[in-house]
Amino acid sequence: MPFSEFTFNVDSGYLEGLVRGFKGGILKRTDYVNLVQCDTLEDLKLHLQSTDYGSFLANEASPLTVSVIDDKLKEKMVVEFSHMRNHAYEPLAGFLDFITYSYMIDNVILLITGTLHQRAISELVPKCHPLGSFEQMEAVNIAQTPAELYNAILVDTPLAPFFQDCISEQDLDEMNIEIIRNTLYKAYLESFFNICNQLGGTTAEMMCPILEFEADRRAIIITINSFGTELSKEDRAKLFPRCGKLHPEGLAQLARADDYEQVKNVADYYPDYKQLFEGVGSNPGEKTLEDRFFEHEVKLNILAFLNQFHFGVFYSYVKLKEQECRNIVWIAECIAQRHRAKIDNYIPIF
Amino acid sequence: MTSFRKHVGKELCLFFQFHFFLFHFLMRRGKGPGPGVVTLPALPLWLRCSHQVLLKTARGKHSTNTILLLFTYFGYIYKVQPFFLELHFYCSISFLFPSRNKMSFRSTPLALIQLLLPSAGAYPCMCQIGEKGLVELRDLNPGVSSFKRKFVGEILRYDNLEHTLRYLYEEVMKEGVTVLEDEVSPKAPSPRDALDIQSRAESLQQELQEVTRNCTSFTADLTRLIEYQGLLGALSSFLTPLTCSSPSPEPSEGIRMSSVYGIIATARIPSFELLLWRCCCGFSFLHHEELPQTFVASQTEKPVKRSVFMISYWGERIGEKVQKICQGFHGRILQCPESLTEREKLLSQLESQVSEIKTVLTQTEQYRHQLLIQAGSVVWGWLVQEFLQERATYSHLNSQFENPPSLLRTNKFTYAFQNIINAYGVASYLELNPAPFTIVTFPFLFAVMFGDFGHGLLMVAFALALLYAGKSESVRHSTNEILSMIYGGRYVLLLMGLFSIYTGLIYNECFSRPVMIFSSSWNVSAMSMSDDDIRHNSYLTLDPVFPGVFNGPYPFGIDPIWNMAKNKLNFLNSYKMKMSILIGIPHMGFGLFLSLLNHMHFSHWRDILCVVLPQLLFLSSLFGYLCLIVIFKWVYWLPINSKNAPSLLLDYIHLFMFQGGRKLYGTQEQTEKSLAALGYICIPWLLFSKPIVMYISHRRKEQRSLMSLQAEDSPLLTGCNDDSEKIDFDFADEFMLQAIHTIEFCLGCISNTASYLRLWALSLAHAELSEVLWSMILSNGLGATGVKAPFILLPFFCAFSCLTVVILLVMEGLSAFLHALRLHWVEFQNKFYHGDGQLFSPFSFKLLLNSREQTTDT
Repeated sequence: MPFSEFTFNVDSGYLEGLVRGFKGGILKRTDYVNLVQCDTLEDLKLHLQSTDYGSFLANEASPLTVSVIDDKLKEKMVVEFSHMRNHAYEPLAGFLDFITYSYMIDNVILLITGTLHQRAISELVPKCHPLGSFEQMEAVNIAQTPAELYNAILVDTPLAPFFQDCISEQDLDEMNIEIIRNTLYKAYLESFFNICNQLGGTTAEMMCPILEFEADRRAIIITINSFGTELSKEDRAKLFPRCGKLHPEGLAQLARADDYEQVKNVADYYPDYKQLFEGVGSNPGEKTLEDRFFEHEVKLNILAFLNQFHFGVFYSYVKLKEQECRNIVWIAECIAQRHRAKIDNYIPIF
Repeated sequence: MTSFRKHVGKELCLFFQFHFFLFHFLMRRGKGPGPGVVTLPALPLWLRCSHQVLLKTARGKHSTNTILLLFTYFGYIYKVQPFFLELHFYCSISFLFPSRNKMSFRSTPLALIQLLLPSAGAYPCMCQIGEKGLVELRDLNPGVSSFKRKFVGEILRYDNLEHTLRYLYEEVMKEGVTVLEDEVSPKAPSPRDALDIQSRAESLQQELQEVTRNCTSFTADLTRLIEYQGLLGALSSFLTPLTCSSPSPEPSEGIRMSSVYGIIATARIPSFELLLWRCCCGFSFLHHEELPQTFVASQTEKPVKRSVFMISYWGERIGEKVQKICQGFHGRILQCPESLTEREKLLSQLESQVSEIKTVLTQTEQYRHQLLIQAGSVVWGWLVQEFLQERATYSHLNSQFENPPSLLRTNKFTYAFQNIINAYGVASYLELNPAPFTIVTFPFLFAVMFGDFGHGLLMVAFALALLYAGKSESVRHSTNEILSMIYGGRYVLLLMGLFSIYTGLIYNECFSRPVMIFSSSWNVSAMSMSDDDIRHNSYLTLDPVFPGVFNGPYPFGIDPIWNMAKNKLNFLNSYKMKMSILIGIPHMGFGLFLSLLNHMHFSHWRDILCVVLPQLLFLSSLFGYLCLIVIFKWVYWLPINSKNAPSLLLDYIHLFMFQGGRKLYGTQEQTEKSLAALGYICIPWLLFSKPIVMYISHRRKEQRSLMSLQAEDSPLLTGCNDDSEKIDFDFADEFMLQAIHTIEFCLGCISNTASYLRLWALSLAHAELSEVLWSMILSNGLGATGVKAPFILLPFFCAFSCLTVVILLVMEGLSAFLHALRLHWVEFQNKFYHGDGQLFSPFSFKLLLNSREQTTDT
């Protein structure tokens, strides 16, 4: 809709204000510097109390564990998110729902993999991300084939349209699950990209670069991870999301790649990605490719807050908060395991 | 002239009575003994408790309470008639205020005290300080992060204790047991008691947790049994239609129909049913029925409805699937005997189990209740002590001096006025606090813009209603933001209303109508015109020169006859404009006078001579003179000679241009020339004197230090001397700063004077708006006659009263309030007020507890 910024505040102004307020609570560099200095998890708790997290750990029994912290961090984010979702009107409501679909995909895959390894479903459910839980989720284990999975369970969920590409009568084995995950993700990203383009305006302007990067990142990671597995090159090419900057030439080259050097060569054609591949390594002072990708993602997400009257801020907020959870959990793990050498490997946000 | 004196005397008398009543009233309400400022009265009390205390005080100089008289001129005039000026003595006399929370002109002097405590004595000492609540603590280690401080261990211990206590408190609150709350200032326990409390609290918590756990497990058992009962009860209704339709499942066909029974949350049934249907490809039936009871979900503690279901299916594999689906949807599968007799047997068994559990449960709950009552009686006292932890860290002190905070005492009357000032900025330590003056000037300036005694009466009524409503607890501690804001300003509203009545009487307006308290002093009959002329002439000119037409000024306020006059606006505009200037310039002058007092208090003699003095001279010679000639013209130029009266505007312009040819009074030209010269001299004086004086003294200092260096070569002595006196001095910087100040002040005098004209503009707007409301609405309704008159009048009156409240009282009131605020903040306070201090916030358990309650409430 042209000039949508004039009417944006009618429905979504409150929520945008809210999300910008929430964004103010995201931990800053100085907070991280303080967190890293902590000696025990109790110290960490004391420090988090002085931030926006407040007394979110106050009612936990004394021996604090990392998983408790993780759960509480997620819980806080979910409370904030569901508050926004409950107050949202269309099309923002649909947009927010779309954010949760990626977590739903993760949860489904987690449950299927778990059942494949003969784990009880009650043991797996607490590990699922609360943002992506849905009603039929826990019945996922009755499915034996992808077709069954689709016909019986996922057909009623919003994931159904993404699933259409991977209906087959093959058994669910580890390879197939991976393929399903990536196909689902591909379909999800592409349709999210389309939706953002349909919304148009600033939303598209802000969201497209983020989603493009997300698509390219998946393509690159899939390629790198597929080396040394039985995944054929044709199958691999089918898994690449086709909404990124790499599409179509880059993807075609990626499909032909045989080793890491070739992937790097492909990235060299794209200035943004070339930068990311520089200085990657496992030596001290160098960062892993994954971390470089996270850093870039954080950078893109921060950009979303520079514009007003668009939905990108909600997506970015969720992603930044997720990154923050990862950071705190990383620091907490390092403290708990007394493994301080790598404690600085978190990714600062602001 | 005699009449003038008489009037002034009467007015003064009235006004003194009014004010005296006001202050008297305040004084009566105040508690406590006579005047006298006592700082830190409880100091020795808490010093006793700690060992080895070294006390060092840097006691500030006590300020003597000065009595200040503020003159506000308020003049009015009948066209070109002998005037009458009244003086209002607004005495904010400090000793008339109740002494305990009295408002003083300066913040209460404070002493900076350094306490050196052994760590063992720190705790009891801090406890005493917190109980007294008279001392603000300084964090001397602001850079040190919270977990590296000295008393971290203790803090963590109290953290745990706080956690325990919070648990107990929440449980007690959940149970609805009343907690014994102490209104008196809470006592902190000694460290030994704290340990005792900790152990007791922990044992209580453990006991309580165990009992609660038992309770919940019993409740869960009970729920399960009740559900089972419900299932068995519902089963008969499920099975009968089935058996009717197919009397006996026939084994000969090779298809065995099996059934699964269970309980599931009602909310999940639709998707459950859909999934069953999808997975089993229709080879299953689902029957379900909602149980009448409401259960409590174990995790979320929210009430849920549960349903009984029965699934009938064919085949083994489908059975497995059904089981898995039930599991996935948190359905509980229960065994159910098929035959009726067995079922009944089971039911009766369950019945007895349920009753057993119920008795156990009630007993447990009773015990729990007792425990909670026990906890409730002590928990409040314990809550107090958690606050010690935060502050214990501050007790190791180093010496360091910052700007002291300002302690501004208020009571419920002065509180709102102090807040008006604090919203702009808190007074620096010992700086003159404008709030006492604001108590009088703020409502007065408001009322000048809001002069209508009908509206004033309504406002007073509203304020009185608020005062009355304040008796109820709910209004006083309301969490509603708007209500609490209005309630907080109730005394401001009251004074604004009272002053509006006063100015309304002077403007002679009540809902825009004049009131004939005395008969008009204008007389038409003296014009010796024929009756016919008077009746048929639409324009009658009453000439005051004509003997008998004008019989001296109206006793109080504006003559009501002006309301009928064609030239009413001309008259009122000239009057209100001059009035604005007559109020504004003295107001600013008073601001400068306060700045003089401020500098005198701090002994800034250089600033007095180089800044305040030229400023005062500039303002009074150029602008104060304007006030004088306005009054002079009112007094001197009578109707007889009014035709030759000079224009003040032109005269005033000539003053600035040093031009002659004026005839307001005899020696006008010489006087004005000398005044203008004085004013002009003030500008370079203001601009150059301060930087030059500073430069000279700086040079002298340098020379002295140089001489002392030459005189004695002891590096020890000179070294310490130099450090303190070597202040960077840049002449250009100082000069630029002073230039900016000078330009700001001189231009400010003009623009601020113009700014005071808003008094005129707003009072005009208010009068015109109420006039419009009256003439366009209510007078239409009043015009009706006969039997139908009341019915016509009613809607008109409703509209009139609604609009009066909404537009004239609320909207106009707010705008007048804002403008009065601006006049105080900008025009008045920029003459003397820095407002860069910070409020004194003592370390007090009581305050901490209150703020905690507020945060938990919201």
